Amino acid sequence: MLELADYTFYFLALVTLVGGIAVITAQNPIYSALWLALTMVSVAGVFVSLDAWFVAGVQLIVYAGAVMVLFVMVIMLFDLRRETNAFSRGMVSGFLKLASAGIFLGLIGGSIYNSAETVFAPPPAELEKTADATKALANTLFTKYIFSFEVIGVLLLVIAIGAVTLSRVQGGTHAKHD
Amino acid sequence: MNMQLLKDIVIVSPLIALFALSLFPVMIKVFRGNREPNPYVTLFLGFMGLSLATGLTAALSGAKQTAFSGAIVFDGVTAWMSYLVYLITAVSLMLSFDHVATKGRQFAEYVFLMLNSVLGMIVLIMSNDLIVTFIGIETMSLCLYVLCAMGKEDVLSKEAAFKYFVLGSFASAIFLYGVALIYGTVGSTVFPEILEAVGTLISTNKLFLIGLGLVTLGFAFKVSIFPLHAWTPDVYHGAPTPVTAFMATAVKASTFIAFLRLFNSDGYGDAARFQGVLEWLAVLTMLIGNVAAVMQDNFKRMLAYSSVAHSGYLMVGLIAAGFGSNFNAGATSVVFYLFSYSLMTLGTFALVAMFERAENTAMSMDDLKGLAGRYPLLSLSLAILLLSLAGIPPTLGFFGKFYLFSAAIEQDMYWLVFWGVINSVISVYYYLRPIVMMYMTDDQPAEVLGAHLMTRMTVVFTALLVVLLGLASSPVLKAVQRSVVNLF
Repeated sequence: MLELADYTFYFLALVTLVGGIAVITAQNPIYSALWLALTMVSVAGVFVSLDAWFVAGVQLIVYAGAVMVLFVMVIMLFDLRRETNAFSRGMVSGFLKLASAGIFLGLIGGSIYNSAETVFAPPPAELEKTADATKALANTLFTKYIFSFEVIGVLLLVIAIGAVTLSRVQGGTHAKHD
Repeated sequence: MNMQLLKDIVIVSPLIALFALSLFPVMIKVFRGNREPNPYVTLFLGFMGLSLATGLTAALSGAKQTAFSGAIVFDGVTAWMSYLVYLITAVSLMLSFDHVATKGRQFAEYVFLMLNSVLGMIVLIMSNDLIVTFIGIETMSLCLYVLCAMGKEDVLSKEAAFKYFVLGSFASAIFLYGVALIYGTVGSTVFPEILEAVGTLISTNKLFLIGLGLVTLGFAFKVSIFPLHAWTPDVYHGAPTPVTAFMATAVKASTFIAFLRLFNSDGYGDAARFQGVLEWLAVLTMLIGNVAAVMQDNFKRMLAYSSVAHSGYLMVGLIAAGFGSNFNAGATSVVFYLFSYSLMTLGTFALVAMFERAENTAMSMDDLKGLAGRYPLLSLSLAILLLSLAGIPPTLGFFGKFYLFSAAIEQDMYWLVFWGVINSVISVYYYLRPIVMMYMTDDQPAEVLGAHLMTRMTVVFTALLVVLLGLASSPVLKAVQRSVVNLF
């Protein structure tokens, strides 16, 4: 019998899969990046449903937050249109893509096969919920270190605006003339 | 809402005001569909932010207060240095408004970045915690990296930005590593606890000493102290001149205050070897800065090397404060010197900015030939500023150096003072050379400068301040002293 938790998992898994496929099928690199963000968020959701609060938080902050911002910035700074064409055509690159996908699949399959015993074994009974530690972390972060936290927010905004500014700046050997 | 948090937020209200006002120009630009707002409006909003922050700082200054569980401290030095940084920024904004490399279609972003750089500096000045210090340095520097690249000049400004970014990130990593080691050995990143532990740890714990050394190196990079000074001439030369003026003064002022806070402990008295290393760094910084400046023909590069040399003088005061028995005397002299140095340097760079009519022109010494004939007031102002940089009485620069060196003599650091005086003598040569060019070569008339109303005002105004404050230096020093003694 399926329970609520199962439905949640299937829903999140579906979103993750759809997001993942959309990342590689989207034409516009910005949309790709946004789909990737959705994938990351739903993976974080899976972690939450497993009571892994801390990992979920890190997943959100590091991947959906920092890494995504990095991606978007790289996309903004470089004109990717030509590179996109270079990557999506040609026999050699097609072969390379297939080969690397195959190797990656083999790696994943191999690691699952080799670690199946420990992964699928029932979890030890004394495994504590990590919720308390996460709560303590959040408490320190939002009370004692709140000032640093907020200033880092300013810092991120500065970086975002700075990157856009740089991409439109005049002069220089790689300047865009518009 | 709890009351403590509300009080803490009030203490950082100058920062909030700065940040909020810095958003307006870029927001206007966004809502106008990426069209540049009227530069006068942008400039006005920038001034609004600065004056609001100044007003709030003035309203808050009084007894020493800490906020956010001791992460930041608001005392007399915070207030004084905040005023200085706001003044420098206001002047730099005026220079940028006039200057060919910075005005134009990205002025809104320019003002945003400059105000947020100031925010980082104030965080750095207020900081009472190594983590906050690090975040302050990063906020300040990241804005500066972009500001350096924003000149329309073709090669040098981009090269400067890239060099500064790569080396700056490297220095930040070193600083962070030092913070980690200090946290590992002391068990805290808050200044009071670290400073209390210095006395016992510095002679017993090698790891702590390494951490302290790495943090010192991180600071040394930002204020361009030997051996981390090599970026200075290239970056100062390549960046748009208003940005250079801003970097050479505001960054140095705020970083030296954070540096000073780290040395506010009696525990350094026993660390003779650490002191020896710092003394050598100070001496080498002065020597390299001055000797290299003598050889420069490009006026801006000469000023860059002279700024390296001035970091060396400031180090003398820092060492006198940290390793001597009287922290307050040394700290007062450093704060006073930062004021005088900032005023003189701002004025001189403002004059350089006037000579740059196109984005790709550099000002050389020869451009000054015969300037006195055509522009007597400007020439007189520049002469005063240069004499003050050389430390000739009765200008502010003389008294700055005088207090700095007498603080060191009080602590029996004759060796350091000897080198300081030798270097001042060397520096007289290259500071007098432009004056000779201006007044004693009248075979050819100087070229006609652009209008640059605000830049012109800056040159004259700073020269006037240098003379007036020089004549009234003892009341000013007393005021600085009060703020340092009561509240540091």
